[in-house]
Amino acid sequence: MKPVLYILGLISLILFQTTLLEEVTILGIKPDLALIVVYFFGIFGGEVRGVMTGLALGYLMDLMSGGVWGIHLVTKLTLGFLAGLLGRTLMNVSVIFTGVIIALCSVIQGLVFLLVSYITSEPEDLLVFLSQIMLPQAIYDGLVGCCLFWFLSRRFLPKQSTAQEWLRNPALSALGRGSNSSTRVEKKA
Amino acid sequence: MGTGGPCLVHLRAPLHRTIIMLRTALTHRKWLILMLSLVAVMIVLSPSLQKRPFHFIGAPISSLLVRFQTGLTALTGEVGDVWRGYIALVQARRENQRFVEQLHQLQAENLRLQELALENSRLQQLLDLKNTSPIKLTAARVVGRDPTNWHKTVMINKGEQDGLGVDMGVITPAGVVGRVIRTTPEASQVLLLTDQNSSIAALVQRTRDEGLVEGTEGGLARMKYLPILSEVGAGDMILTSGLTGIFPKGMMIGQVLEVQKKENALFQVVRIKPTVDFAKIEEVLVILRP
Repeated sequence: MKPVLYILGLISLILFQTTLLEEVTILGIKPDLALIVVYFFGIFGGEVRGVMTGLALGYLMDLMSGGVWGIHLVTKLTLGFLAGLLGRTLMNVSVIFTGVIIALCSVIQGLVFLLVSYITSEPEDLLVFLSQIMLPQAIYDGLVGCCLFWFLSRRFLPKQSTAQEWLRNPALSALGRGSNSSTRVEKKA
Repeated sequence: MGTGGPCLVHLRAPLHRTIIMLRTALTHRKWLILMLSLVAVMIVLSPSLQKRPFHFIGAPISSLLVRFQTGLTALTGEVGDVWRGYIALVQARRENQRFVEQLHQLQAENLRLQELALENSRLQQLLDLKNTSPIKLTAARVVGRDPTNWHKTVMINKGEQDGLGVDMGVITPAGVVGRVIRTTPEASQVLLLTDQNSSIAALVQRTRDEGLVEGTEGGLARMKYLPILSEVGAGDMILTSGLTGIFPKGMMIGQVLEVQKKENALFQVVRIKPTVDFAKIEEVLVILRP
């Protein structure tokens, strides 16, 4: 049942991203929900879940987007893996920290897109690119990430949340990496 | 016992090595998964595989997503219409909508007539709009937009089954929208005029200078390769030149906002505001035969 829900969730996310999200654009910019979800799966679910979610969402994004084929696949997969590595070493998870890291991920992804744009179509106005797309999107992604994390933490977590608490929490077992990994983190600690 | 011992040691040694290798692989599971994923990505990105096997995988997924998108878009439209209707008074909104539609129709009509008059005045009656090959069009509904902010594309609910193919032009009564870049049996992806990768042959209506219209990073458009001596100015209308065969000649693209001339440059660049409001397009016409 879980895999079916997981796949349905990812498909719903892409549908939401391509239709309803147009209604909440700010200055023509919409948040990259796929990036935020891959980050959460990576950091709280580990490398494997991060990579798998990145692969699936990246592929669906590539199907629906008009950019260079495979760019979302590679960026989302790498993000999932790196978030998984970060999750292993992370001890304190706060709302601000989550927002900053997601905004940073968004900037890095934007730089990759910019690099590919330079190779394929030579954009002329770099300042417009940075000020009207990349930075607003990073801020928007960071804010949405903050809100999502705040909502999840209030709903599922005690006030003082640490990585171990996240991992021990059975309510997040669908997202979390399970008992084996949590003991591994405890040993490290 | 003494004779069997060395044989068993010989048998155990490779088994032991295999176990050690398996343990090592399991210990570095994350790297193994990363490597396998990267190999999978390389296979997916292979140009030869994209043409056949992955097209067969991607096409049904796209079709499925488009079906859901169609439902969601319809639902959003219905709910949004009711909501907006109550907020901004039903009658005023309807009237405004009708006036905007009429304005677009009159603008299009006016431009077409101006174009005809200019052709007549230059005594170049090579093209008679009545005798030019009739444009075959098919209507389609916009069911989804690009998931990113980096590219400007829309998904429409017509595909190969309806006779659509790659590089077909897409328009609305207000002007040029873009061209089809990807098709599946039931849906197509349209690259908008404002995307950086879009390029359309165009001309300035008043001066008849030709150039290429491309999308910009900021969601507008620019016309490149205009001769430096061209007398193009703000307010001039930009039309399709009909050179590439995707669009017929004389379709509206946009209006010149600003002219950028650089010293010692061979060409000048003009910034264009497209006549189509890309944030609000809901229905489009695909040119099956220009």
